[in-house]
Amino acid sequence: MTTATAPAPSSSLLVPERKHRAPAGLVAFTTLMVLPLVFPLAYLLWKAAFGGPWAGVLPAGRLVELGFNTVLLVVTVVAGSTVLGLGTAWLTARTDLAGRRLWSTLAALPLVIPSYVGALALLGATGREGMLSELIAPLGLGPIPIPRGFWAAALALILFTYPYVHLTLVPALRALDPALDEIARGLGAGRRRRFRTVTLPQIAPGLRNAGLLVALYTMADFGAVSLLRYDTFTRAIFLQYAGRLDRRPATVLAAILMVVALSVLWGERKTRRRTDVAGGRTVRPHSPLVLGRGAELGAHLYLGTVCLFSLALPVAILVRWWMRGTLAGRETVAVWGELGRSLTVSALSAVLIVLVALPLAVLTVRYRSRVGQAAETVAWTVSALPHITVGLAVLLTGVSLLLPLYQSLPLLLFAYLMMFLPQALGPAQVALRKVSPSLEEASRSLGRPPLATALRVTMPLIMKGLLAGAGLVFLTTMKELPATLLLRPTGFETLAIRIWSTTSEGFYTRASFAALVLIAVSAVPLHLLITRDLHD
Amino acid sequence: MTELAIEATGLSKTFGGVAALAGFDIAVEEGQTLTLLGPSGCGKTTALRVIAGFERPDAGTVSVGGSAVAGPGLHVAPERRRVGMVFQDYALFPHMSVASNVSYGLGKGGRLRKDLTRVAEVLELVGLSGTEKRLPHELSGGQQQRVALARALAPRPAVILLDEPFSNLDASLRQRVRRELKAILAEARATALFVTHDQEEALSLSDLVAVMREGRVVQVATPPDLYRVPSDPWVAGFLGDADFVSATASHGQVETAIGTFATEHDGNVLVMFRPERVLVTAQPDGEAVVASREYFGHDQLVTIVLADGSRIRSRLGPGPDLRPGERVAVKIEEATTFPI
Repeated sequence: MTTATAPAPSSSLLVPERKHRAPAGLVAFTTLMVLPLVFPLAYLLWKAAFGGPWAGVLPAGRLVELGFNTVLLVVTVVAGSTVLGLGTAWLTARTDLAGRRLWSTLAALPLVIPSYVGALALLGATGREGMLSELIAPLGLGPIPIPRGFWAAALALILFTYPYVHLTLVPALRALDPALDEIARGLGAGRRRRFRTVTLPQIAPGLRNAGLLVALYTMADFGAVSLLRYDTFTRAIFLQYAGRLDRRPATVLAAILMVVALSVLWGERKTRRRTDVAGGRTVRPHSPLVLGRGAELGAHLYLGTVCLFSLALPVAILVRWWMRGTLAGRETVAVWGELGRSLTVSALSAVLIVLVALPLAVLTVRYRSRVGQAAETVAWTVSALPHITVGLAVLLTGVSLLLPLYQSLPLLLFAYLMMFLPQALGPAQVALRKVSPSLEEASRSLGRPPLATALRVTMPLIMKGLLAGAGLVFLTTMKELPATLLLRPTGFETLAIRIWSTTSEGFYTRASFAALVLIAVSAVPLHLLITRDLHD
Repeated sequence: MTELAIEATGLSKTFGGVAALAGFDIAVEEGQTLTLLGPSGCGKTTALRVIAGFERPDAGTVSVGGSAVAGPGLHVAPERRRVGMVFQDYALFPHMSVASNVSYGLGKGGRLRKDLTRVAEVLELVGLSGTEKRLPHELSGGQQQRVALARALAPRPAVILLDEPFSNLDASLRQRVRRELKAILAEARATALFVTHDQEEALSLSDLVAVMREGRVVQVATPPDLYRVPSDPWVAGFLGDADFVSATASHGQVETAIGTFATEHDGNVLVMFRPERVLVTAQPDGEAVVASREYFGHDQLVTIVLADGSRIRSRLGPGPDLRPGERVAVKIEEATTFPI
């Protein structure tokens, strides 16, 4: 005779995955929308590879020089902006500094200053008529020489890209689990060792993301390097394109730049999986680090200096040029047409891109679909490529295959779609993930067919996310320069184009007014969209 | 003969190679409440979703309110099935008031007078009159659940399906809400199909309980029958504490270390004892010894060792203070046998 306890109920850990296969119509639509994103790039590569002879297109020495210049600039700017941004993020997110929320917002704001406006400010500060030169003239010092080349470009880019580091690190620093720090402390680790062994590994993914963002931005920057005359790939591509009838050198250069950018992306992806630390859930917020008197003063000084050079001075310089021009009776107006065109094209771009992003978001969030995943990867990858490359690729495609569309608004909007789709896709996906599928099912079982359900339940709930995405697209379209320069219809002058052309011709008064309008228009929605949520 | 409100036969459904349903059958009569009970992953939620129309079965047929809604070549969309659904997370539309939520399933957005009357009617039924203008997040968890029920009841569906309706409530609230829900469904004379993994909930909630295991129903019975006469040892163990002793039966009798019981089986059998049907009393010449005791307050669980070394448990009231090593007399009030 034996005894036995009750058999345990068998339970399977494999709860079935309840995502359905996607409807064919949605998959087909997404494919039709996303495939064209790749086509111009493939065409550019094909043209570069087989469109003519390789020999004699570009001297090898020139390629090496461009490559070296670009790499040097990227490394310098990533290092510089990481140092600046880590400092501003740490001081505003982890200490008890008075006014840290205001500082954090101010530190993010230079994002509204496009690099070509930054270059304009730098040019407007120096030289015989420059604001800084005039400030030091009473001291008997001569005019500050106009900065050109490597250091000028590096300075301008560091000052206007560190907000990316700041914006990425503030949430990462705030999400740190204080328990880990306390355990390390309990185990006898000092402040420095804790930063190195506990804090740093946890924010490493954020640092890497920010670094990648800045690296791609710098590699792709066209405005600052062109206006400050530092020879990188982007400047060379535009000079080759604008100065010669033969498009082959520009094509080859653009293809090389694209391959380099893709390699950076691929390399980053390859190494990410092994080093990423899964972020822990935050149980409670970190108690802020209490700064001493001296340290607090130093912190204010640091943040003040950063904001002075990246925000206050540039704006002051632009305002001064505009005022001086107005007082001297020089013509400064006549940017209202440009403003109107900028607003129009940005609004069109925002609407178009949100309309494309929405079905893609539905496909990737609600269904299990390889096509959806592939489309998402394509959208992100294409958007990370330098705009001048995308612009040239679309231009070549237009000239060779779609001549009626060459220099037309639809072609320009298509280039914007290639560059900015993820900016609308991301917020749409986030919003859609927050809408539980059971809400849609509840609506269905209450007698509403799919379309009515989408209109009455899903749409109202994701509207905020869609608007946020549209706002971001609107902003970035407004600031976009290189692709607009290559693809705009003849005479279609936007604010960005006006700033660029007047600056390169030395008309700082006109350029300044346009730049101020651009900053003013984009600062408001940016503040609403990004910085408001940063510290909540 | 009573009409069947839900009839499902031979349902199968596989997700990525894992069978969620494998030959699932159920029949619910009009006005009846039935609970699908099973461990997590047994396919009970999938069964509910197939009946509601959110999943297409790989095989089998479903009819709701007498008309076929799923079968070979047939799939009626969820919005045309007359099935009300109460979700685990309630799925109240967060951007709509209570009244808009409840009227959502009524014709043209519930603006007609008869719809407004119906909204007031079901809100009164669930005891939430006066909350019409509130938003879902302004209500407590229990109130949200009643709104979800009112919303499902409003269009007078043929059946109401409830997916783990109590799992989002605090344990302290659950019993009260369960009583209320039962009363509301009875008053509405609704046909209801519950899904739960909680045995106590299943037994206290419905007219019939269907126990599911690995994609199929293994037993359907009223709660008392199910608890007292489970169809096999697995069901017995799943429904509550049970101890098993193996023995040999012949001529309608089975002999164990603590007595002889009647049985309809022959040969090798398992004899099952429910702890609350095993009574022990302190007695110096008793046939068993106390091995251990867990004291809970409202009751206690005493494990005893029988003469042959086998162990069974006894659930007693809070009174007797039995210590390990003490000798006890055992009285078995009920034993169930299963053939092996």
